[in-house]
Amino acid sequence: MESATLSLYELNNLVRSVLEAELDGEYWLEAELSEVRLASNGHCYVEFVQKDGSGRTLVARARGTIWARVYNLLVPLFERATGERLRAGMKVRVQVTVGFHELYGYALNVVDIDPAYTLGDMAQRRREILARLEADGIATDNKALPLPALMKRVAVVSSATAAGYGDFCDQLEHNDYGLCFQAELFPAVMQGTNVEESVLAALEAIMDRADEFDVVVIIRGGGATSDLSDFDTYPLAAAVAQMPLPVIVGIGHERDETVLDYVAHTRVKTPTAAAAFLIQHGADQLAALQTLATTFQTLAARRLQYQQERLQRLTATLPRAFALVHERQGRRLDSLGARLGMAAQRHLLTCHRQLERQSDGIGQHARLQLRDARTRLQLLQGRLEALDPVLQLRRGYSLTYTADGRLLRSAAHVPPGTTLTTRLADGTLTSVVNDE
Amino acid sequence: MNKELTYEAAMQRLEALAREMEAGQVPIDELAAKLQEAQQLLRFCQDKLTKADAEVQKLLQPNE
Repeated sequence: MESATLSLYELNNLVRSVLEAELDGEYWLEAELSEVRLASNGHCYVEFVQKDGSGRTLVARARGTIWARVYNLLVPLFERATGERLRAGMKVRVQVTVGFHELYGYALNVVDIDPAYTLGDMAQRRREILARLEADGIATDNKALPLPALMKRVAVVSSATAAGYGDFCDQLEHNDYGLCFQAELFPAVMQGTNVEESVLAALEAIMDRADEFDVVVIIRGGGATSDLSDFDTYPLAAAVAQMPLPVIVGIGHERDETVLDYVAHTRVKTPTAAAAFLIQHGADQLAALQTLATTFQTLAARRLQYQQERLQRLTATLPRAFALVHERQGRRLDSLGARLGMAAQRHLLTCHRQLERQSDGIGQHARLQLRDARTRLQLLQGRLEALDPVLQLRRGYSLTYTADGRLLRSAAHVPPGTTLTTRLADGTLTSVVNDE
Repeated sequence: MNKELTYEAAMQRLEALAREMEAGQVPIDELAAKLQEAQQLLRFCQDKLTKADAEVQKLLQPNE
């Protein structure tokens, strides 16, 4: 190209005049802030970027300026609406004019910001995180934990220096009910880009000692508007959701909320509200105990009174009961006496009869023996009579004796001439033997 | 009182005692013992709410 050599300024000036001629309007632009720097002169210098679909590679970049006049007008409104400061990583929709300066080059001048877009983007991001938590099945894990009856040992995740932490501790310590809390601080950065890493580390430290605590409180103090979306990260939300202890978050903004507000067991607005929540819970427990104590007293008193009345009734009926018993026993004794007498008589009678029977037996026996003896005697007599010689003589038998008085038993040896004496029943007869 | 006893367990026992007494199931012989037990449990729970655990205090002290 045959033309004069230009100075840099002349070239830049040329670019500027072309740009200003061609792009003289205002444009609405969607982009992500990659840098935000508020200078001491009140101007705010930013950098806009656009990433490719993967979100890793930059496909466009431009510097931008929010002049102090515009900044003071727009940014407070924006921050109130979104609960966010302008910060790197934020997606914004801004109205810009395109500018070019010979010394400073290409830059976009911001003339308006649309908070609705940023809000929508943040909400979108939260929705995505929540959807992922739900897909993982952990979104309501912490909410499902029962609140322990005793919430005394409190693990606090907070910045050590934050006013909110001091307020929280003060309030716990000086509660109206004389409740005792034991709070232990797990310091964490609660603002800026290190929030995720720092809070995660604190939660892990608590998890390691989970059995030493009843509840976890994540608080962030100070009234200043600050970057809530630092808490809108999946790892942080997942860690809170899966905490084995109920988590109470008090990092919220009056208007806005973070994913932690969704996954935590209980959400409150401020650290003070977190303390109030714990105190109220303790106070409820104390009241329940008081009710129980009263119940015991009432019930015990009622029971004692009932027993006393019973005793009195018994005392009143006792004499009558005794009389009744006495009478009944008397009757029983009488009847027993009568039965005894009768039984004795019966027994005596039986004995008597037995005795009689026995003596009867003895008589009978004696009589039989006597009869036997008599019979035997008669038999003997009969036999004796049969043997009596007199009787034999009467029957015709006779006895013959020799002269010398010997009984003649044989015909032999009796020589003739022998004188024999024969005895007959009615007398004696003497004879002499002839010849044979 | 058992050292292992937890606040929750103590509360459950208290509720059970209250139910028992409400049902009039406590024999008069045991009433005094049960009342005493209830009183001890109540005191235990109240202490848990309002007093520092010596052991925890001990643990915390080196950090403070």
